Amino acid sequence: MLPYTPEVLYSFLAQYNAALWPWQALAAALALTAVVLALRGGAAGGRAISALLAAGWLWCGAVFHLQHFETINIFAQYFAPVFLLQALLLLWTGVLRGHLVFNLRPDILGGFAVVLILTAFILTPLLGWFGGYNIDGAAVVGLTPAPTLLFTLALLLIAEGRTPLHLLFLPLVAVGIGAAEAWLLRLPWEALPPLLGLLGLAAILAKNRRARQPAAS
Amino acid sequence: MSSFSLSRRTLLAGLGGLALSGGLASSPARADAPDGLLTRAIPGTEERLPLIGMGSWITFNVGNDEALRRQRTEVLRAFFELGGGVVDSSPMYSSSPKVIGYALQRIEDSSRLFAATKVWTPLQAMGEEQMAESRENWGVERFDLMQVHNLLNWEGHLETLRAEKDAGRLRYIGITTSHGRRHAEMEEVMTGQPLDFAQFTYNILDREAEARLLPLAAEKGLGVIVNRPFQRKELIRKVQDKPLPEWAGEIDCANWPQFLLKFIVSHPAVTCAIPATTRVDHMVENMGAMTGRLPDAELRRRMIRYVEEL
Repeated sequence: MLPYTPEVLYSFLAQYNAALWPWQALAAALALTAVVLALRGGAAGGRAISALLAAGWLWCGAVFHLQHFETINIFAQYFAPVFLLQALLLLWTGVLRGHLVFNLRPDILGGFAVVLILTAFILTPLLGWFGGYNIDGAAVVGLTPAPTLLFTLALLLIAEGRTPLHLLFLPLVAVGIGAAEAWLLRLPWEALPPLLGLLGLAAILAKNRRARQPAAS
Repeated sequence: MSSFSLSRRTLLAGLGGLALSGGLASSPARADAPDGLLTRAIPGTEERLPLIGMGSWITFNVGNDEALRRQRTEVLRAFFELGGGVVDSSPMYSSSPKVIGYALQRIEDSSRLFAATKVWTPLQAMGEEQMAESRENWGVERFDLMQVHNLLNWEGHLETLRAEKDAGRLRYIGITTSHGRRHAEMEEVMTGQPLDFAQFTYNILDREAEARLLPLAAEKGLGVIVNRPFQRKELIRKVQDKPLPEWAGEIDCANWPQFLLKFIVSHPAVTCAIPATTRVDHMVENMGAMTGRLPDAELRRRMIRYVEEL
């Protein structure tokens, strides 16, 4: 049981957006930059993308959950560490150790990554509106958990080689949180991000498995 | 603690007697309650509480939305205008305490307020700070009732609450649970600790409390606050499209909420029920359960049968 109603959730998101404006534009620009860097590939781009992803998770933990969402959901204080820890893991793995190199290619993984990216950018912000609520409460990538999760999974899907498993556990927890919210508030349209998130995680695991197998001679 | 001495035997005999006498007599209204409203004394005291209070789980958690805050203020205003007194909340309810405070500041006459909240933290050392924050959120100098929420660290918090009560910073203390959980532990605390109130779930379909907790509360002289009177909304959803029985008029019920609430507050061990709502018209319906006749034991059984067969 959650302590708020859908009406209060979307009202909260609208107020959150109003309080942050125009940070949404900057967040979207940074996310687009990450996509461009992924098209280019390379180690330096990998570090930059990792830093941008970490910044998104850091924001969701420190600003979204701890400064804003806790107003209507006292349990947000327990969600925040999930996002903060994921930010640290992305920084450590991708920025400090340079173990993440992203490459968006025109293959099946790249295609699914594009689906996740488009969902994060376009579809997720419109979900509340589809459900009959005001567009003011649109969830924005980098500033709100659901699109940030999908965007991150899209990039981890196109990471070269095996994606480290320690980067997948907390997104799985975030998928669980999103699914629980959709279920408990009876908002079927809000089940889309966690569902796609789960598919994204499964795709990453499948990619890892394929990367572990020796190439056929 | 309390000198109230309604034993289990007396309670059961009373319920039987009610069947013979044709119904629970309406308790005399307390001095500051509008005439004709049903009230019940807090065991061991002369203080009477209106039988219908107000819960705030989810319903008053509207964050900083000014329009929703104003709307909830109207709900609380209607509650007081219709003779309400007990308002219950908790730090666990996110912004609800602040919204109650916002509304209380804007309501001209909230003199009947019986402010009830809870302490909800695993650490005893944090209890005092949380209670101070609750006073600030509500804008009250002291709470009438402070309860240990969901039995969380009840050993530690009851020690603090007793000290606060002895110092005059609280009037009554209690413990809570809900959803029918941890009744054995509730029973243990109600038996072994000096309390004034116990809060738990009881409604026409969740009647587990009738077996142990309600008779025990009567025996120990504890006030009883009933939460989840409508199983949140589930009970209303179950019955709303069904007709009220014709005999509902015998206990002056004009709608389902009144029918369901009168079942609860007609139990003699219950001090008040705390339905929660976001709507003024629903508040008006709920508060209607505080007027007219209450069912006797036989009619209570009939009410159960009717709802269970729907």
